[in-house]
Amino acid sequence: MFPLIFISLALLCGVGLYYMFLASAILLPVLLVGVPVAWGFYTIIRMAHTLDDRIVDLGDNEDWIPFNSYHAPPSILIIEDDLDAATAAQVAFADLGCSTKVAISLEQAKAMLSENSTDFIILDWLLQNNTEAGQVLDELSQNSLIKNKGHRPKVVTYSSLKSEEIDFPHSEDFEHIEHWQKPIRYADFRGRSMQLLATSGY
Amino acid sequence: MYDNNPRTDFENFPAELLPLMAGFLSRRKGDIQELRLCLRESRFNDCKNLAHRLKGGGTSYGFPVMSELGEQMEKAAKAENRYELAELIQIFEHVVMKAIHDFKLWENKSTG
Repeated sequence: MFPLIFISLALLCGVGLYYMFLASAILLPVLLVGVPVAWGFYTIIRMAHTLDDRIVDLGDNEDWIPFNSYHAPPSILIIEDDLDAATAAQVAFADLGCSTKVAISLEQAKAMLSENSTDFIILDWLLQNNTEAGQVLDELSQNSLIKNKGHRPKVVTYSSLKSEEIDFPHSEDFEHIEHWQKPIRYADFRGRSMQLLATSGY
Repeated sequence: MYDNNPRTDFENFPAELLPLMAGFLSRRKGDIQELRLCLRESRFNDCKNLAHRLKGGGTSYGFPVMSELGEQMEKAAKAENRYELAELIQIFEHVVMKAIHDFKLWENKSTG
């Protein structure tokens, strides 16, 4: 009885060892070759996605391609005393993946520009109490905290006034790039915002 | 002269702004009271500023007629034309109240 059990166990071990050898003979080459090949494919696909993200189709307003991985989302400061207009602008830019802040007064704008770096300013030209944005920019330029940041935010003036009625002061701290005249339909505002970001390299 | 029955098919309005619509319309209702008060107290400059804001905002939310009325009210306030301003405020009120009514109907319909 004892030899029979011994022989059975030995046979089982032998079979087990044989299959283990077979498995390792198949698995080892798969692991050694397959894993590097799969990793290679994965890297190529990732590179293709990264390149794809950098392409922005200006003609296609339907779908927004997300910002590529080399850029942080652009930060937008909306200086606007009309809460509804500010909210609509904020919704449009946020929908495009930007980080947005709203300042409804000069004081708020100063504080926000001191605390955060800003890429774009959407500036309502005529603020409450008939404050012209030119005054706002002058005051902001005098704020040393803004100057020392080394940023030169791009400014889009946004007003019911015509562009020729806007007298944007020469400033080393701000770059006036466009004027958008109100009223603007939401879809058009979003389209312009998209184009602004794309032409600025985002 | 004006399209007093503005487009009210809210399904075609910017979807992103629909959650803000109730607040927007409610603030416009408040603007009517404010405009009337300014007119009663002959504060034409305040009327002008408020009308200027209406001119800028209405179109964004899908109501170009509010922007048109805002522009006309701004001109009337500048000219201190009390009668025209009163008439325009009345038209503006009609537009706002109709929009509020239609929005409520649309909300009820969309929530089932």
